[in-house]
Amino acid sequence: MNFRLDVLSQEAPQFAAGLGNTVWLCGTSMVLSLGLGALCLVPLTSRRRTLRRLAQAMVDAGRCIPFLLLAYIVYFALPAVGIVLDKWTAALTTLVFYNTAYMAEILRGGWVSIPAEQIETARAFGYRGFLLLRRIMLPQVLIAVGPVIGNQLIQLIKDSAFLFIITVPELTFAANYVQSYYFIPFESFLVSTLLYWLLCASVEWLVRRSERWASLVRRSHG
Amino acid sequence: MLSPAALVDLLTGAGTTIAICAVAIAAGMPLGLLIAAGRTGKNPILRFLCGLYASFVRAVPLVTFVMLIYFGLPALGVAFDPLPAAVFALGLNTAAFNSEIWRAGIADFSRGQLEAARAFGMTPRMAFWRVMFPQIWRKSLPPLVNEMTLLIKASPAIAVIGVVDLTRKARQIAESTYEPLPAFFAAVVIYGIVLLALVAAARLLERRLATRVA
Amino acid sequence: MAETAQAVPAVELRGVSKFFGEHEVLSRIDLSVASGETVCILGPSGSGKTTLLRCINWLEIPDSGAIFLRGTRIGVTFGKSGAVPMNDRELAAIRTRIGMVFQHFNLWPHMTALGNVIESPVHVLRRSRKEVIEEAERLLEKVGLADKRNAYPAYLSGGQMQRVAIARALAMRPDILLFDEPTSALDPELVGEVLAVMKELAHEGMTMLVVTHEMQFALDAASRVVFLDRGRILEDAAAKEFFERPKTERSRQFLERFNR
Repeated sequence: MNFRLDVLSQEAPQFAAGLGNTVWLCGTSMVLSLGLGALCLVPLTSRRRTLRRLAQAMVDAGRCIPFLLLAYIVYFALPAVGIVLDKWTAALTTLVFYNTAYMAEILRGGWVSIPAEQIETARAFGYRGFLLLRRIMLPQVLIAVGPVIGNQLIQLIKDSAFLFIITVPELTFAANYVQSYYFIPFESFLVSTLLYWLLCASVEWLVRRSERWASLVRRSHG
Repeated sequence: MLSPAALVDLLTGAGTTIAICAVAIAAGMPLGLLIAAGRTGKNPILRFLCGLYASFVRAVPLVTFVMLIYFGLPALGVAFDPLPAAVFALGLNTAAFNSEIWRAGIADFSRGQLEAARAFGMTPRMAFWRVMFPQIWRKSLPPLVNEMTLLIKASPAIAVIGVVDLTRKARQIAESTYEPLPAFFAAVVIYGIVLLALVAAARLLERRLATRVA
Repeated sequence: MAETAQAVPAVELRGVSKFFGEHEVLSRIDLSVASGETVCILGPSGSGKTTLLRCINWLEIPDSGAIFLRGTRIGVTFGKSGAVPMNDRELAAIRTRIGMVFQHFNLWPHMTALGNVIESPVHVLRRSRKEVIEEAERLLEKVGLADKRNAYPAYLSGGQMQRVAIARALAMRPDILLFDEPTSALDPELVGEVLAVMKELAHEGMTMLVVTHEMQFALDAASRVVFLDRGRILEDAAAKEFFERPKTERSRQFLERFNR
């Protein structure tokens, strides 16, 4: 087999652009879904049982849909009810909607893992409401679930590859484009595979660093 | 709404998805165990290779991996038909994740029990199968089932190499009837039922195991 | 309120009762703590000591009776339609005037020692950060942990954590300090350093209400001892008086177990 390194180096900008778009899409949607997921914490940890159960059911349902199917629904089915999105908005919407369900579940798990004494102590010092959430609870929740969020980010990066099917020019699209144009499927997909591997390895490195912080918080809870 | 013919058509797609995933899951679990054994074994080369495999496959999107196997491997002389390629790719993928689950279970396992087994004259292999494995497979059941649900959710990837699974079927029906909503909605429901059934069966199994061992 | 010869007590409980289901945990408690006093609450396990303490800052809500902080009613306000439970805001405001040191320290793990001490004064009391940091450093010095200001709780020993917790409570400049078995969760060799800090606070005239098993501390530092048994106050006397001349059979039995 003739490994076409020359084509690869010529088309390097394509791959770079694809990688950049993947990073941008995943980073942005992760941040957005983290915010939305934090908002979901309110009904998920509510003292009213019916609200809590409804919210939990919605989160569970949201985690049952295959990503590609959701992308199809956002891109092909929504126009039938009058919502027409361009592929970038559709991509971002799908990623955010999909990931929010997972973020909500992850944050909820983190919330539950914080001992009740932390809330009680904060209350004893005069904390309440939004201030209590912002200064005492959320920092501890985020630190505790940092590694889990990192793993979810890796999942998100991989799911984003499906978006090439609706012609979003991310990394897999670039690889597919190059391979179909130059007839070099092995080289092309190998390169994109390696680039995904690099991306995920970087996230995993960050996860390992954040795991140290997480264990610090866990140890102090005794 | 969806015509009965379209529904039956959709269900054949569901059948394809379930069949392929079932085979991949069945093959992936023992393969994952083998790789985990390699990663925790004594041979450093084996440890490195298995670790590399697991880390690599877990980092790659399933779509890209499937295309690498179906479109890319023929360049190296290995050609597949779409269906076997799909099963192969899914199986390799889930094996990598399973190896991580098994590896964690093995690492968590108390060394004291193994020592006791050796002290009583068991060979390492005997100790593994009679002492370690019965305990770790029960403990690993929840993450293993979770991985199964993840595989089913990622399985639409096989559509890109021409396998008509549930998601692709739904799209075909949507495009031929110009009515995307019923087709996609039905697909969501079917996936939901399959995943729910899987999780419910797993919980049942967990409960029955707990009463016996506890 | 007219000026009286007697100063308003720091904390006053009148007829406080509490039930956990059918079980009466506190039974018509009357207790008054004057400013500058150090009162130790002693008693066998299950006597309701901790519940009593936690009622004062409304972490437990009494079923009947009234509790006053420097004359202000806690937990209940009086509006046009009579007595109504305090809302969150009012409750939070009152709590800032009551300092609490917990059995399990409960430091906030995501902040350093200094961070823990300045956190509430800055964000709840809205005091100037610069001023609070200065005071916090003085307080950490006072409890002997000036060099640990940038350490995270995970790296501190139990005794060190509890001393930071004391500094944290002091930084709020409370009217009274509540101690809920502050040394019960500590290894024996770390108990002394915490008690030393508490003793010094008592001698400096801090108003303190301490639930503890440490008899020697009660003897050394308390001005008064309250003996609680099965939800009732059996004795309320000067410390020396209680230890040397216990008046009830139960108190005698209790002291016997601790007699050296």
